[in-house]
Amino acid sequence: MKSNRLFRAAALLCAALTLCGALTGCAATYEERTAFAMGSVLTARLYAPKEDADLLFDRITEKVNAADACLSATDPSSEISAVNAKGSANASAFTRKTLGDMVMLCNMLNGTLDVTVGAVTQLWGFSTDHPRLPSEEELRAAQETVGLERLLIDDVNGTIVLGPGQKIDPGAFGKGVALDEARDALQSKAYSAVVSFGGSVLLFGTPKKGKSWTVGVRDPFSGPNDYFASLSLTPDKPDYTGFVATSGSYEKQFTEDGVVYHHILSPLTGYPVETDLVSVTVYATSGINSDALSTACFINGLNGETLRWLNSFGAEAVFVYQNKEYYVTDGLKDAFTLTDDSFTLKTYEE
Amino acid sequence: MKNKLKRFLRPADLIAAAAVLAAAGLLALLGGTDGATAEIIVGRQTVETVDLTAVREPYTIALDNGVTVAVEPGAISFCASGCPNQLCVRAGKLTKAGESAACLPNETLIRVTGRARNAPDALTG
Amino acid sequence: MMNEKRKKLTKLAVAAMLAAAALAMSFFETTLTAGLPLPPGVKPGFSNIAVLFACASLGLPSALSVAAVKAGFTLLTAGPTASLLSLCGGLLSVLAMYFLLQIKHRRLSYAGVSALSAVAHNLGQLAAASALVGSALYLSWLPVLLLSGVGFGLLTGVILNAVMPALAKLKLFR
Repeated sequence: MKSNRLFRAAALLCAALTLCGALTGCAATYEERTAFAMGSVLTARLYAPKEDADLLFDRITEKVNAADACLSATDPSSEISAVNAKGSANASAFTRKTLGDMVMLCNMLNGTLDVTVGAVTQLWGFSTDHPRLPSEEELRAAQETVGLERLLIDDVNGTIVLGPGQKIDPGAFGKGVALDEARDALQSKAYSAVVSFGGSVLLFGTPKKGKSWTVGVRDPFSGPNDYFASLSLTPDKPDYTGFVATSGSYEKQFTEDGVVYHHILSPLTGYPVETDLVSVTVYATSGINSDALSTACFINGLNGETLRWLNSFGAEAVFVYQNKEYYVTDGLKDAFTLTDDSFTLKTYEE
Repeated sequence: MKNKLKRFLRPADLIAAAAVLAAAGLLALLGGTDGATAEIIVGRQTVETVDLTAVREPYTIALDNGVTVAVEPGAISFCASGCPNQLCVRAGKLTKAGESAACLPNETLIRVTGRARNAPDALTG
Repeated sequence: MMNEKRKKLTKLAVAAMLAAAALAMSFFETTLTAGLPLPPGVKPGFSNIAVLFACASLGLPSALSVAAVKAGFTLLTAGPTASLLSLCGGLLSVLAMYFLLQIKHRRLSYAGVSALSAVAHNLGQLAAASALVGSALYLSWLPVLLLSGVGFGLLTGVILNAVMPALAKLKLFR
């Protein structure tokens, strides 16, 4: 009788041991890879076997670097830099097509974004180590060069021609375009993946059948690893891809004479947008859309026009204000979870 | 009393042990963390892996690219870099699984491997 | 029959012997495990045998003093941090033992008591380490320490179960 009980207890112990073993064994199986591209960290978490993960990550970095070699405004050997330097230069079909997409987006967003603001952004120098406040005269002269109507994309001769003094700045689109390229690389194999590229995110497939991804939305008032809310996202048909991008005034800024200047410039004034927003996060179905919309929403603020833009692109957004209020568009309300109680929901009525 | 002590193990002992083991297993599942190690990545190469729980005294690692990384019990951070904006140094100490900091001009990334419980798959911002 | 004073003196002498035995065992343990690739924080804890015996036959104060002597010894050999960890672990482990031994109609033998108190010891150390570093990072280590606590705790408890009849024959308190 007694030995029977001992036996049962021993069996229980064995069961517990097996449970322990099983639990430690069934961790999610993904491969993580990191590289540096376009001056940002590119990280991919690939739900694929090691060899395929290596192959896919190579393809992703190739695609991203290829896009950068065409579109970078800071790399002097890029196609856009050549166009900017000479005012007119040959450009690959990819560069011409992507620039065309950017111009189209600028038009649809009513000039809130303008891809020809390069002369202005160069004056501020936010992408250099020494940003500065330009003089009013400098800015006025640079503002003169801005205008989509003076930009010519000549598909017949394969060239891009700028207006006098005009410069292209693809800054509001670049990372998004790169993530669209990464998506193309991922589609060759049907493995789920998350690709993070300097604060922009590409979601492909789902982490597990019937499960959704969670994307943390950075707390603008805290460090780069802190988030105040998370979005639970499930990329949907037809291509099961989702893109999240955030524009935040905290990303790049400098202080001069006690005034803080951030890097999100209004194409209308040439100065940093004056707004009570600190960041806008956009979930959209393409990288270029999420990237452009997050900047455009930041510049335009939360209003009827902004919401109509989001609606027309099938995109959703989270707005965060300096007073720690936030606003979530209707389509994202169920996916949104607040993780920091010091933030409060903003009441907005159109 | 003497009689009972002659037995080396009793069923109750094993049941208690099983309960603790089950708790350990549950914790391993829920915690799912592997936040004990940190990686230093330069370019695409992992140049150093540090077991943060095994660190007893703080020390620094000088990388070939001029970046210096500080390691202490349970934490890793950038302590010096030749880059102009010093964003990497200002990122502070990383302690939790999944946290990372980068020195972009030097293409150097430090991160605590693994994922904290309920940690998101990615961060935007 | 022996008078109160002699009883006290005997208790003190036995406690001192147990403390010495505990130190000897932890020293023996370090030489034994020196070559083994044990994860950090994982060790057999043979000195637990002495502490548990003290707790069972001499009572709480004696067991606490044995743990304190052990922590003091660690202060000399391994420095203040390790000593603080040892003290926190030892304190919690003795309290756990005492509590378990108090239970009437206890079904646990020394093996079970030892296993649970070893777990308490590791928990105490872990809490102290986390507090010192100021982060909860070490908590990820918890499952490993629970596992090792149970394993080695059972082992040392079984040893005590085995030697208890012999110790009883010594008639230390008669």
